[in-house]
Amino acid sequence: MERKRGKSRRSRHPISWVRRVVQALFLSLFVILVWTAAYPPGGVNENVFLRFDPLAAFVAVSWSGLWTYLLPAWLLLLATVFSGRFFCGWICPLGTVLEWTPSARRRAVGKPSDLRPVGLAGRTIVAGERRIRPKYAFLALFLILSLAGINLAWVYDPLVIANRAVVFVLSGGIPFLLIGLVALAVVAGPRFWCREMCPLGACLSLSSMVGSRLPAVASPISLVKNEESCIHCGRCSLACPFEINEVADSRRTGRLAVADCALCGECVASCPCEGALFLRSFGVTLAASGREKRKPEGAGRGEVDLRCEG
Amino acid sequence: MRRLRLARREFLAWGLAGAATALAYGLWPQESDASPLLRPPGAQDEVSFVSRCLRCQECVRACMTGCLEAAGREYGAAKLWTPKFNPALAKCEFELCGRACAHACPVGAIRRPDDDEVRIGTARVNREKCIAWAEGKDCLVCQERCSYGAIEPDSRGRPHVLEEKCTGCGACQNTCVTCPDAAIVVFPSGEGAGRGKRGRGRS
Repeated sequence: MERKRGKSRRSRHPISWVRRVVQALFLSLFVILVWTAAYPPGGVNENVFLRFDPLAAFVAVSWSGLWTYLLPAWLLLLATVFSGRFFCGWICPLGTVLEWTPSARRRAVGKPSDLRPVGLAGRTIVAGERRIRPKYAFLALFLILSLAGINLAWVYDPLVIANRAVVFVLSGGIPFLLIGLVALAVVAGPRFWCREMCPLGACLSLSSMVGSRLPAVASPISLVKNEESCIHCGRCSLACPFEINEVADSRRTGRLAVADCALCGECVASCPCEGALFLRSFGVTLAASGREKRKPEGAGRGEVDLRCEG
Repeated sequence: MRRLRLARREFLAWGLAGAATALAYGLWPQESDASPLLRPPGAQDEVSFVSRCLRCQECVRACMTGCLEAAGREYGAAKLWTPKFNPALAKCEFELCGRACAHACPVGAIRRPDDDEVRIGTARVNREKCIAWAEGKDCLVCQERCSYGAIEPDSRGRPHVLEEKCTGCGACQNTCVTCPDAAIVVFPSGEGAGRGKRGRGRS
C-alpha cells in the first residue's frame, strides 16, 4: 500500500499482510504503553520498549544494576545475531510510521550500465557501489560521545524519538524530530532513515553481521534462497524497502544473512518463482515465494525492465 | 568476503556534519534569565543526569501532579527536553506518588533516595517581591502550605526559609500570591550542587 509498484497488480502475498498486522499491533502497543504510563503506574513496565533499546542500555551501563534491568536490550542484540534486523522490519514503531509514509521518491535502481545479463531471464541487479553508510558513522559518533558523557540518544535513537513524539502529542506539543523524519521519508524514501541513518539500525546490522554464518535452522527468522529456482529477474531487489541488491545475487544460496535485511519478506512476496525464496523459523517455512505459479520462461514476463520505475 | 569501499569525500562530509553538531551542541546559547532548572526528586547530579537522560519524557508522562515538563531551548541544546520540575505547575509530591518518575525512567537517571534524603532544591524569598517583606502586609501563605516546617516568620511576620528543613518540593512557590512570578522560588542546591550560578535570591 505504501508504494505502488507498477508491475505487481496481483493480489498481495499473505506475508505482506501478516507483517502489516504485526507492525500495526506493535505500533498500537507502543502508543498504548505511553498512554498508560500516566500516573498511577500500572503493573507492567510501561517503558519496556525503551528497555529493549541497546543504545539506551549503552548510555546506562555505567550505572550499576542496569545490566539486569536492561536485560531486554541485551536479549535483542543476541536475537539479532541469530536473526538479523527483524526488529526494524516487524517491531520498531518509528520504522512502521516511516514505512507507511507515502513517499514522493521513485526508486533509482541503477543505470543500465550497472546491469549485466545473468541467467535465463536476462538481468540481475549488480550490487552497485559499496559504501559505508552514514548510520555507522552516527553510531560511532554516538558511542564515542557517550563515553565522553555527551548523550545523543535523544536525537539519534528511534525509540526515544517515537516515545517523545507520542508524549508530546498527548500533551499538546509538537514532535519536531518525528515531523522532520517523516518529511525525510517523503523526500528520500520510506526507509531512508532506517537504511542510511538510524544508529540503532547500525547497531543491529553489526550484530547481524556477527551471526551471518549461522545456519537457518538456528535462527528464529531467516531468509533462505534456493538458487536453483531463481530466474534472476531482480524483482526481489526492486521490492526491498531496504534496497538490498544481494537477494538477486546469482551466487548466493542458503540463508541470506545480509546486514541490512529487516526480514520483512517483501522479496518473498514479490518473487514470481515457486520455491526460490523462503522466510523460515528454525527451518520451518513461514512464507514461500511463488504462491501464484508463473512461467519462468515467459519471455516478456520474467524479465523486468529495471529502468522503468517500480 | 565483499569489499567495502569507504568514499573519502562522503566520510569527510559526515565527519564535518558531526563536528558541526557537536559545536552547535556546545555553543548553543543559554539564556541567563531562564528560571532555575530543577530536576525530579532523586535525580543524579546534574552532569551525570544530563549524560544519562534519554529525554524520552516517560517521567513527565508518569508524574502524579504534573509538575514536570520538558526543558526548553533556553537551557541550551545539551539540556533540551530534559525533565524540568516547574513548581509553577504543581508541587512535587514525592512522598505520596511512590516516585512515579523514578519508576518510569528506563535508564535509571532518576534514583530513589529515602524520603528524608530528597533535596530537589532550596526555596528562597525574594524580599523585593514578597508582600510581607516589601509592603509589610500580613501574608504567610507559603508557611501554611509548607509540609516540612521549613518556613518561619520572624517577629514582624516576614517569612524566612530554614534551609536544613526545605526539600524543594515547591509548595510555597506554587501557592505564592505575587503576580506574575512567585516571590518565593526554589533554586537547585544540595544534591544538584554546582548550578549555583543563578542563586542570586536572598533568603
